[in-house]
Amino acid sequence: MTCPKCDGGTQVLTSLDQPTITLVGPPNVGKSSLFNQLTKARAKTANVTGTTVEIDRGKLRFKSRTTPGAALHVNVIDLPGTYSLTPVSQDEQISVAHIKSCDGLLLLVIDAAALAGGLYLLGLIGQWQSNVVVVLSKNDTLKNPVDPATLQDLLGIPVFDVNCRIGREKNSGLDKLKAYLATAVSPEKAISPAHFTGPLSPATKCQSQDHDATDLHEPTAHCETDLTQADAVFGWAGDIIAALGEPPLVKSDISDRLDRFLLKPYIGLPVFFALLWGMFGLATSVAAPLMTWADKFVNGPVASGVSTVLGWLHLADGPFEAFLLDGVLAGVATVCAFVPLMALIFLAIKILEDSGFMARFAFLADRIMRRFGLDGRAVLPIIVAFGCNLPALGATKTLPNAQQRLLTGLVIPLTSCPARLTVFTLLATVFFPQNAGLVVFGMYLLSALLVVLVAWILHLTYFRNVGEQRLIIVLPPYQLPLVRNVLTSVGLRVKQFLRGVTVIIVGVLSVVWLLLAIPTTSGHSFGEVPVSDSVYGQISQGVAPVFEPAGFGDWRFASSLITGFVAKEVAVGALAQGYAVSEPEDITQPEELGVQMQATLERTSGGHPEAAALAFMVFVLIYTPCLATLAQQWRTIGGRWTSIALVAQLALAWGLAVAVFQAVRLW
Amino acid sequence: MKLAQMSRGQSGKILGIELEPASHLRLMELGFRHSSILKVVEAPRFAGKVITLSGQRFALDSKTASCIEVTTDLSATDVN
Repeated sequence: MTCPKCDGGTQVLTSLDQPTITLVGPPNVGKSSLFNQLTKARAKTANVTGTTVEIDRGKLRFKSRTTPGAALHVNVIDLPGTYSLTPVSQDEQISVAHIKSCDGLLLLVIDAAALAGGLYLLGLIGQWQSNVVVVLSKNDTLKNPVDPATLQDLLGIPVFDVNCRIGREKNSGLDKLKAYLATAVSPEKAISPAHFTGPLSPATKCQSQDHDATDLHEPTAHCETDLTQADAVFGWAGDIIAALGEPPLVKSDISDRLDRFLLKPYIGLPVFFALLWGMFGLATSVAAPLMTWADKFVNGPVASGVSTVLGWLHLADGPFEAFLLDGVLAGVATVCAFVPLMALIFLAIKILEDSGFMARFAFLADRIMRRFGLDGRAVLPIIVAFGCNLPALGATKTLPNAQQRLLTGLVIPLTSCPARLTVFTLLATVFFPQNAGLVVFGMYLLSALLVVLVAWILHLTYFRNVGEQRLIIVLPPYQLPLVRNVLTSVGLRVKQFLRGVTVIIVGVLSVVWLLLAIPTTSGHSFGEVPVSDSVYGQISQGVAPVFEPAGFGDWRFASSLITGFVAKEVAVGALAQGYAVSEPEDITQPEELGVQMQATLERTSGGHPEAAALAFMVFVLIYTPCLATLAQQWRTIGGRWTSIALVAQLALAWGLAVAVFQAVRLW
Repeated sequence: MKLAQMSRGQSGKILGIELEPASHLRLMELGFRHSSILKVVEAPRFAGKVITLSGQRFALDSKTASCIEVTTDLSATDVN
């Protein structure tokens, strides 16, 4: 395995010049909640370079003991959960590499109800690190809570009982932990070590090089000797648990009774689907007016404010003002408009995760999804994608490993979002007035078929191992999500989204504005030119012949597709702009625009406008959903795969559009 | 018998895991060790098993459940 300290590909973990506390532990033990409590949610999330693995970094602040009024800052890193030091996923691989090589203090969070697993991890870590402190979480869920003092005596390192869920409240145990960490930070900013000696003899750091951290394929556990070692470490953990007295007993809770119903597929699946549709339906309907408001706010008061300031600077009424308002601010408005939707979808996802529903749903859906190479958990982002592709890509974070995230991230743009619906409705109303509903439904059906088909083909080719992985999920108890934890997580995700996409969206929209502003014929000035005489219009005319085999080789349709690349919502507006007619108020009554479109496709399709309209809709369905999605895809699965996906979608869109046109024309 | 053959409410003792080393190790790390006692709490049709083991609840697909050898005789000492 590549060590993060030795590998430039994992710089996110190593560019730290201050003392570092690293949170480690198995998944779902409350690590992230503790991280939020320690850092007060002032965290930065970044992908480890070349991977889809995300690492949260924050700072813990202490008052200096030597310099009054000064503060000491300690870096806090939250690593992905891992059960052992034999990684089976890229996420675990990153964690294990860091555990083996890092300096500073390891804060190992272990679930009191699953003490053996936590102690097992501690025993393995002891081979590589001695500076370890144990945080015992979920002790309150036991009938016979573990005594941290006894465990501390047995292990010889500090043990803190912290209720990570209630965090900052009194009696959570967090204060004691923070007090210890404060005293552990010396004036020289080095963390004084705790000395853990585990059951295994120490290993030499930074010596294993058996896997590249940036390799897409998941690593596999391959050492049979690990089984013998695991047995020895579990034996040691068993001795510790025996010395603690009676084994931990979990309080019976409502989970038993709920699971009796919800884990029956014929009850559970409909309930979970209804829950998903309800939550995401609610999120999108609540988001719609907020999105409109955000857009109007940026284009209204904010734009006016910018104009006023430019007036003071004597820069108003010129190309610079137009560029700033119609290019840069338009990009800012697009980003701001998406924020409420992203926040609400992230909120719904977090509630599903924290309540324990997500793991059950994944289990029930797994059998179906696995046939297409997808994990049961992929159901969630795919359903979200039919509402909007953008948060769906964010939701792939819930998937258990890098390959699953990548595969799902590649098929999500094929789901038909409501933005595409405006184009479908316009075309269907104009060209299939008697069967408009059926045609639009057909597009959604085609979208679902493409998701399944493309996932299946990818599963049979590049992602052969994905569907073969075994399903072993720890089902957490049902619980009410904590408002603070949920809001903190949503805030972090939204910040992450803004950081990831703002520059790309604002940049591209500014470039589009420039292309629209530059005239290519005489008689027009910069910024005051009809589309047809702008660089943008020329590019559209250059692209149009590409679509001749699909029956819509006209520059206005090409221009609409190029604009649709930025956002499908404005594709209809671009068509209207191309024909120099008003954009219809009611998309089902296009009138002048409809007449013009019919005339154009009649000409370009050789008398088969319906076939050309269908081909155009198919192209709109398949090619890049929008710039914001592309930016999010870039952030989620990286530039290389986003570029591959972009080209593949364009090729598939063109190929199917041509096939549909030629087939329908003959028929 | 295999875990996949157990019914809801039955308890069993793990006798062995017939999986390749990587999956075997992962199950072991999750607490699926020789002589550990598990209980099938749900056995949904077409969807594997849900069990409790060492205070935790796990969902396993049928394929994995059919690789875990168990006995319902909790007093059994060693079969391997």
